[in-house]
Formats: sequence, C-alpha cells, structure tokens
Amino acid sequence: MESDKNRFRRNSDQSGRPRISSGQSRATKLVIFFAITVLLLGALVIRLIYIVKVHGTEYQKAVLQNQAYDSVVLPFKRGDIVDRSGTVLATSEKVYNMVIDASVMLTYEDDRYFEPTLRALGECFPADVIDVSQIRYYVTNNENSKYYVVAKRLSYSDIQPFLAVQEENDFVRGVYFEDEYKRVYPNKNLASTVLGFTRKNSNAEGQYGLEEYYDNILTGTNGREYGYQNDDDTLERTVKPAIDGYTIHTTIDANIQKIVEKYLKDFNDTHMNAVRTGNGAENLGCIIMDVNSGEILAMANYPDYDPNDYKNITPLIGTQLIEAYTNPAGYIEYETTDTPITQELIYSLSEDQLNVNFSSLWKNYCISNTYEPGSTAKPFTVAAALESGAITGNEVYTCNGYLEVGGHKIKCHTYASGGDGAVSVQDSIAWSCNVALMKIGQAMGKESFSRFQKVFNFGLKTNIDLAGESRTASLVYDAKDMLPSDLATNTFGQNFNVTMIQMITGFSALINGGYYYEPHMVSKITNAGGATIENIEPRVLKQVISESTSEKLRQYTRATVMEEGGERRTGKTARPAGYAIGGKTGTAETLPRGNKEYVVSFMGYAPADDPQIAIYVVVDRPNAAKQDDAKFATGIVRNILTEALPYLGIYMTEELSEKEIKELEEKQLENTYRFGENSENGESTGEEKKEEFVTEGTIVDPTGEAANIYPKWMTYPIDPATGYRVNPDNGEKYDASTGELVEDVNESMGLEVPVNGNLGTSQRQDTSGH
Amino acid sequence: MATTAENVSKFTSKQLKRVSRMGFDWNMVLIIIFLLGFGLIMVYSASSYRAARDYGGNATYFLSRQAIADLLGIAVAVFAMFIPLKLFSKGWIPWIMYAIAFTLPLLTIPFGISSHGASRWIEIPGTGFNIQPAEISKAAMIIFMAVWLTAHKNSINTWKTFGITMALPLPVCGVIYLVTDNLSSAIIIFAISFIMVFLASRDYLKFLAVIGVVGVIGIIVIAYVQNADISEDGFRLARIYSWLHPENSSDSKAHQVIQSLYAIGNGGVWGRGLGQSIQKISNLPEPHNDMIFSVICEELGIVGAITLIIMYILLLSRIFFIARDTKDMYSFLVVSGIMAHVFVQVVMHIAVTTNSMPNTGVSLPFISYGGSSALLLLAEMGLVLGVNRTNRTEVRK
Repeated sequence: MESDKNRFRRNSDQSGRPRISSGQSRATKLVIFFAITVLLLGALVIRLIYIVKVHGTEYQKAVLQNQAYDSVVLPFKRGDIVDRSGTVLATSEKVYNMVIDASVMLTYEDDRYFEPTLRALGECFPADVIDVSQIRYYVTNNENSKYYVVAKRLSYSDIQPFLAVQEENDFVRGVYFEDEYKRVYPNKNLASTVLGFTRKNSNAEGQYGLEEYYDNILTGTNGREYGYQNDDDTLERTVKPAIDGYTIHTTIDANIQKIVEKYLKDFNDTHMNAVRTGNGAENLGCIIMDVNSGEILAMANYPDYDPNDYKNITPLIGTQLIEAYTNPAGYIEYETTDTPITQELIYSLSEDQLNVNFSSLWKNYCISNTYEPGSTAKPFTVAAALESGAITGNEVYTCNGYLEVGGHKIKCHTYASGGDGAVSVQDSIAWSCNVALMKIGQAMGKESFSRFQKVFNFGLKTNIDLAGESRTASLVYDAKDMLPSDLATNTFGQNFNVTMIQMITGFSALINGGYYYEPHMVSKITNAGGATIENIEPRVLKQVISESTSEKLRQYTRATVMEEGGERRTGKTARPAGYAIGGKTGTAETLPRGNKEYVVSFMGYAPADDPQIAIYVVVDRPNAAKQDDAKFATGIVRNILTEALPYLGIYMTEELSEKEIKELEEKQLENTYRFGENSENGESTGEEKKEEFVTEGTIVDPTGEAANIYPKWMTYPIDPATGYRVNPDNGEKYDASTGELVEDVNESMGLEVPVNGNLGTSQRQDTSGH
Repeated sequence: MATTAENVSKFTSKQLKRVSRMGFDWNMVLIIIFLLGFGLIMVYSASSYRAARDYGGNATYFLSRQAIADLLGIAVAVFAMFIPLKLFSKGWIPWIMYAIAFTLPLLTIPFGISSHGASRWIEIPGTGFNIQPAEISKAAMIIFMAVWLTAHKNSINTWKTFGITMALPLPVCGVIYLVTDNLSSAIIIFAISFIMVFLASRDYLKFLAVIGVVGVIGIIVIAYVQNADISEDGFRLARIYSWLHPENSSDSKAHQVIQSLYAIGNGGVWGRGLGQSIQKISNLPEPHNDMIFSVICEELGIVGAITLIIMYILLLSRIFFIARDTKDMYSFLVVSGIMAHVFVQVVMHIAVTTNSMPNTGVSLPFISYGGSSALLLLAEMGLVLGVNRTNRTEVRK
C-alpha cells in the first residue's frame, strides 16, 4: 500500500510537465471506470434495500403462499349421509389419480428408469385403463413435464399391483398417485331426489336435495403436505391434515323408503304404456311423516334416478318431453309437451334439450312441483270453519248435486245421481261432498278462509331442509281478490296450488292436536370422529287449531276410510289389513279444464286411535283411460302401510278377514326386517317387530287354513264390456287382476268456473324452477 | 499466552510482507479464496435438495463437481501466474486467440450437449465434464483486444479505427448468440471490449456519444413498450415488457424474475439463515447458477448480500491497483479487461436477480456453479497476479 501511495505522488509530480502522458490519461480513465463500477454496485445495493423495504412483506407473503406450489393437497372426505338407524345413503370413497413425472422418468439418458417403468405399467394395468404407448409418446415429447394425469379415479385394488412392483424395483420411477374422493350412493336410486348428488361425483358442489342444502356442512377443508428444508439441509415434510366434512343423520328410515319406492315403482310398472306411451303416471310422489315431530320418514317420487350416474338417460325414457322456450317477456319458460320420450326420440335430443329434461328429473316432486290438491284440502276447510266458529260440526247440509255460485253452476261428483241428499259435516269429508264444503265456505266468508290458508302455511314455504322447495305465494288467493266462485272452488281444493310437503305438514297438524311442526330431514350432525356437532330437535312453529277441533278432524277423516263413514265413503280402499286409519282422498282436475286429466291423491294417518305417521301419495295423471279414480292413490297407500305399519311396531287393532290373512301371509315373509339386513339376522328390532306381527296374525287366524281359501271374487264371471269381474248377486265389479272392488263413485266435477290465472303454466310444469 | 499470540501474528505479517515484496498480492488471493469458499457453501445450499432429488440421493453432486473445478482452476491460476504475458502478443498468437474465440462456439454444432433447449457445452471425452466454449471466448477476446488496442493505441482516436475496433468483437458475439443461443455471453464480450476501447483511447466524447445514443434508444424503446399493445401476436419486445411488468407476464423468464424478487423479499434484512431458502426448492430456476444471488439474499439477507458486494469491490480495487501500476499499455489492457470481465458479470448477475435489467442468464463470478467459468476466471486471476509480480519486480529494481 505504501508503495502505491508513493507512486501516486510521483505521478502527480510529473503532471506539471507539458506533455500528454498516455499513462496518465489511462490512469484517469481507469479511476473513472473504477468509480463507475463502485457506483453501479452501490446502485444495486440501493435497489436491494428498496426491494426489501418496499416489497419485503408482500414478497414474503407470496413465498409463503407459493409453498402451495411445492405442497401436496390432501383432499377432505365429504361427510356421509345416513338414515335414522345409521344405514349409509351417501358416502365418499378414496380413489387414486395416476400422475406421471416425465422429468424423473428421463433422469438418465440411457433410459434406465423409463423402460422399466413403462414395462411395469404395462404389466400392472389393463390396456384399456393405461395406454403405455400414449405415455411413451407424451413423455418423449414433454421431457420437462412434472405433472401429467394419466388415469383418474382408480381404486386401490387397481393400483395395488403396481405399488408392489414400485416398492421392490428401484428403477420404476416417475409415477405417483394423488388421492381423490368419489361420491358413492351405495343404494343406487334409493332416496335419489332427496339426496341429490355432487357435480361429477366429486367431493364438493352438492346439487339438489340434501347434498345441496347441507353442502357447507358436508364439505370439509383440504389439508396440505408441505415440503420444507430442515437444519440438516434435507427436505422434510409437514402435514396439515384435512378436516373431513360432517356426517348428517337424516330422519329417513331406509326400510320405509325402500317400501315406498317399491310400490311407486310397482304402480308405474303396472300402468306403464296402458293407454299412452310412457310411465304409469307423469309423476308419483309419496311422503311419510312422523305426525308428532315433523320428521320425514320417507320421501320418494317416480321417476327417480341413480345419483351415481345421474347423467344416464334411461330414467328419462317414459317421461313427457319438456321443452324450453323464451316467452314474449324474454323469460325462459318450460313446457311439458304431450310427446313421451322414447328410446328412439332420446337420441335425437340436443344437449340443451336433455339438460332441461334432466333438471326436471333431478327435482324432488314432493317439494318442487305445485298442483291443485283437490279434495284432500277439504279437511283444512272444515278445520278452519270449526276453529273460526263458523260451524259447530252439528250442521246438516243438503246436496242436490250442484250449487249455483256467482252465476256459475258448480257441480258435486254426485251430480249425475242427483246429489248426496242430507250431508253432515262428517259426511262432507267422508263422502267428499263439494256442495257441503261450498256451503261451509260461505258460512266462513272469504276473509276467514284466506286467513286460515295462511295459518295452514298455504302460499308459504315450509322451510324444509332440502334444496329446491317451490314458492307458492302467487298460487293462492288474497281475500281481496277472491270472488265467491273462487272461494267456492278453493273450499274443495281447486284453483290454488300447493306442494306435497305443505299438504302433509298441515295435515299432520290437523291430526296431532293442532301443532304445526317445521318439517325436517336431518336430526343430527356429527363430525368424522362421530362426536355430535349439533342436534336438531323437532320445532313446533305454531298451534294452528285446538285439540278439540283436531279430535273432530280425526273422527271425520277416520270415517272416510272406516265403516262408520257408510257405504258412500271414498277412502275404504286405503285401509291396510288389520289396521284402522283415517284419511282423505283427492281427485283434482288439471288445467286446461275438461281435458280429462287428473291428479289423484290420498292423505292419511295411522293408526286411527293414536296417530303416529301421516302418509300422502300423489298420482299425477295416471296412465289410465279414466284418470279420475282415487283408487290409484289409495291402492299405493294400502300397499305401503300394509308393510310399513308392522315394521314400525304398530299393533293391529282390527279383525282380519280370511282373504286378508292370506294376503298378509304371502307378504310378511318379505320386507318386514330392517333395511340392509337379511331376514335371518335375528337381533334387530325389525325382527322383533316381525315376530309381534306374526303373533297378531296367528291370534286372528283361528283355523290356520286361510291359505287354502280361494278368493271369492275370482269365481265371478268377467264382464266382456268392462273387463271387470262382476258379482252376479249385487252387481259389484272387481278388478280382474287385483280383485279390488271397482267403485262407481266419481269425484270429478267438470269445473266450469274462472281459473286462478297464476296456475296456468305452473300446473303442468313448475316454473319457479330449481 | 498473549505474547505467543502476538509473536505468531508478527511472524505472519512479516512473512506476508516478504511474500508481498516478492510480488504476491495476498489481499487479492485471500479475497478470491474467500469468494471460492463462500461459493462452494452457497452452491451446496442451493443445489443439495435438487441434487438429492435428481441424482439418486447424491446431495453433494454439484458441490463436488464445483470443488474439483475450483481446485483445477487454482492449479491453472498458479501456472498462469508464471506465464509471461508477452507470450500472447507475439506473432500470429493474437489472431489464433481470435480464431479460438470465434470457432470454439461453432464446435457445439457437431459436439454439443444440449441442455435447457440450447447447446452450449462440449463434452470432454472420458471425463464426464463439459466445457462451455463461450467462457474461453471471453478470455481469448480480452487478450486479443489488448494486443489489437496496443497496436492501434495512437490511431484509436480516429473514427475509422474506432469503428473497426468496435466491429471486431461482433462476429464472436454473433456466433455465441446465434449458435449457442447465449445472449448474455455475447453482451459480456461486447461490454468488455467496449470498456477496453474506452480505457485505451484518450477520447471521452465518442463514448459519451455512444452511451448517450444507446441511452436515448433505450428510453424510447422502454416508453414504446410501456404503451404498446402487448396482445399483438409476435410481439418482439416481449422480453422487455416482461422485464417492466414481470407480474403481468406469462413468460417463464418473467416468472423466474418474480421468484427471485420473492426470494429477496423473503430474506429481508438478516435472511432466513443459511440453508433455509424456500425458493430454491422448486420455484427458482437454476438456484445454484443464474439465480444464486437470490438464494444468498434469501438465506443471508441484504446484510449478507452487501457483504458479498463489498468483497467484489475489494477484489476489483485490487485489480484496479494492479492495472494502474502496470508499465505498458498491453498488460494494462489485459488486467483492466479482466477487471471489466469480473465487473460486468457481477453487475449483470445482480441486476438480473433484482429485475434491474431484462432477464438473461449470467453466472456470478467465483460463486455460481459452473466449471468452465470458474476455471477461466481463476486463470485470468493468475494472469493478473502474474502482472502484479512483474510490476513489483520492476519497482524493486
């Protein structure tokens, strides 16, 4: 250093000389150059400080977020949906996606990993799952690719052989598996419209039903596996586990659900293609509710679908084609056409057309579709009149077959035979007399009637915990808009629309002492470990009628089915052998009036002396020449209750006829055990109930010879004109195949009154849509 | 105890003085040794995870290769120290140097090893090591330019000779850019040549003019790109756009720069600690090479980075003093050319990692992984130390 300084001085001494020193010039330039280097490096230091001071926090965050880039997502498992006894209705199965890391496969140029890996893939997977030549093509053309999904949703048994090879052969590299969950509905179609499904059967995005309504409960949180560098400079992994979704415990009883679906399907298969091409009815719906809690025990409709394969077109075949069109106001509307979807037609449909029809298929008829309830509304009218004091229950009305209201002649279904004559309040329900109901309505007045419609929640959502419940606010009358003829037709359930869930929830309140329970599907939410997160208790929203009114309603509706209602009672075919039940039939004419299309239904409760359950069956436009026959619905109710009541442990109270004993003996061997078990599995409560049931049957059957008795109706000759077997003694007609008594009673009334304009399109296809 | 320690230190400083009197710049040697040692540590830190992943668990793959190159480089440097610099200026040797600088990159066409989409390496048969011809071209061009400028030191001030001289590196730069797709090495060679011409001539105006014109063009281009519609297909200035707006660019080069900035931000003032970089694991491309400065910033913070920059300034100052002390134009230009080489690479590497200039891969002298670069840079240091030895011997005389 010292010598440097000396030299520098010497240079400056020389600078006085009058000659241009090249050495001096270049020294100056060198100093300038060195100064620039220091300046530039100094500028970069300032730049560094600027980056850290101004963007430090932001970049730090970005790095922490970026760690996701180097981390593996651990998918959560979507929560299960189980029935009230724990039977799994929906669950998620772990599946595996195969990922190829081309850069690892091609680590060495001699292909020491590549070839053995391809060979192992070829040996361990069938050619239709893994196309080795395609992988070879991809890897050789994308040598830097680190992530390429080759196959999706392989099961563990699919990949197990390959994992074993990978374990023992060090040269098999560059293939790994990512976890995923696949939604599985082990019982296929069972409760499909109640459950809904998830998009692409994935972990998330529940669609329709419980899957949609409880989507955020069922959805968990993804976990992560992070890679980080420890102090020894090696990569360690830390795991933040996924939080699985919660399991929801529904109030559904899979056994009852199965019974219900069996008989809906039965009905459909029996009536399919009867008079028109297509299903046995446009829609079939059934709800069974616990009247004392609002819990839904079963809810089903037909057609249904398999949520495992919800885009399968098979269930669409037999339904009526629905077309979307844009109305003059610019809104998209849907119209059910008269064209049935056939095998041939379906392949000619566009993607959009199919989607319109799928969204109708996936809807839950029991909550999403609205229709005119018909005579099943009569108990509500009578209850309202009793509760408001307009009638006492002791009135007697005279029915001449019609009533003139506001210039319209509104008929009773007995119009042709000259009317019912003297009709008590009980008879008005039991015989389903429109004239008596219209008179009761007039006694109440429209304000009172309309107020009670609100009390019974018509026009309001029930807020059941399912996605897609329809709004009906515009589909009922306000008192101020109601003409006398509107009031008249409303009293017997025409000219306003309801959903099935509104009807059965209100009916349960009429029966149970007046307590209106919020209908619900889920009773408990548990976490993946089984700990209870939330208990959902039954919730009474209001008392709609008094206990004394309720008692009268139980009496009237019992008379509809049981003998005290007399020969003209409309619901006797709904009674299951051995039980006393109450209920009400309904036959509603659809729009446009006079097209001979009907929605027939039966709404009932059992047992009659101590109501436990309510059942409501709707048959929307049965595939029959004469649609206006409530027996389409009562037959289904009878079949369902015959199996469901013993299963529920409800004792028989009525004597069994020999025919009934035979029928029960044929039936009891199946389906009286709990769902998911076989009949040999003796421990379950279902088995105990079955034994009780057998005991009951044995007592009533003193001879034990019932099985040998030939049903009497089978001996009657067939009437060639009608196809019925006719009793030569009294002219009673019997269905030739089922032996059911064919009633002449006809509830249709040929309404010739103004129609609620709002019902127009929604009658055939609910536009509120889901 | 204290006395012993003092004795030892006295002894060492005495020894140092003796050696330094022999013309050996210990300060410079210590700085180089420090940089090499630090470089090995950082190469290991930056590369071990990927080495373990990609080379069958061999975490020291890059470290050991770099250590071999460094040792080899030290041996070459010691040898170079004793080569008389004059040897390169005799007869046809300068032109042979030029020919080497021009033709070696061409050899990558028949003998090249491709990596990252470009063929920049030639394999040395049987060793498993590759050589990057561009590094040799850099050293050869420094020698050639020094000889050429010495020969034309009087006429360099004329526009004609200035023009010819400035055109001389262009063919080499062109070959390196076009054949090996190595823009950064081409720029480095041109920048070194430009600095050498500046130092050789007495003129300032020309250089101010050149810098001024380049600066104005640069500003116009930047202004144009700022307002240009980048959605146009085939946008040629995409690289500049992605430099100005790396966050908006889908370009992979911009992504690299963003990751580098993230690393610097993540390191903060004091760094995450040696070996604690997150970005090196997968986000930074070439964390042990073109982006090693980001890893240094992330692990040792701006404190570590500034320390490193100070070490470079000290090294450059040592070379600066040696250049200043040279007696003849030729060795002055060789030493200052080497100084320019170190300087240009350091500035470009740091500028790229801090997004101060458009992204082009430059290795950080003595630190980055790369055998050819280490070998040639150490050989150049050997030459500088050799010049220093001559300087001192002459001073003693």
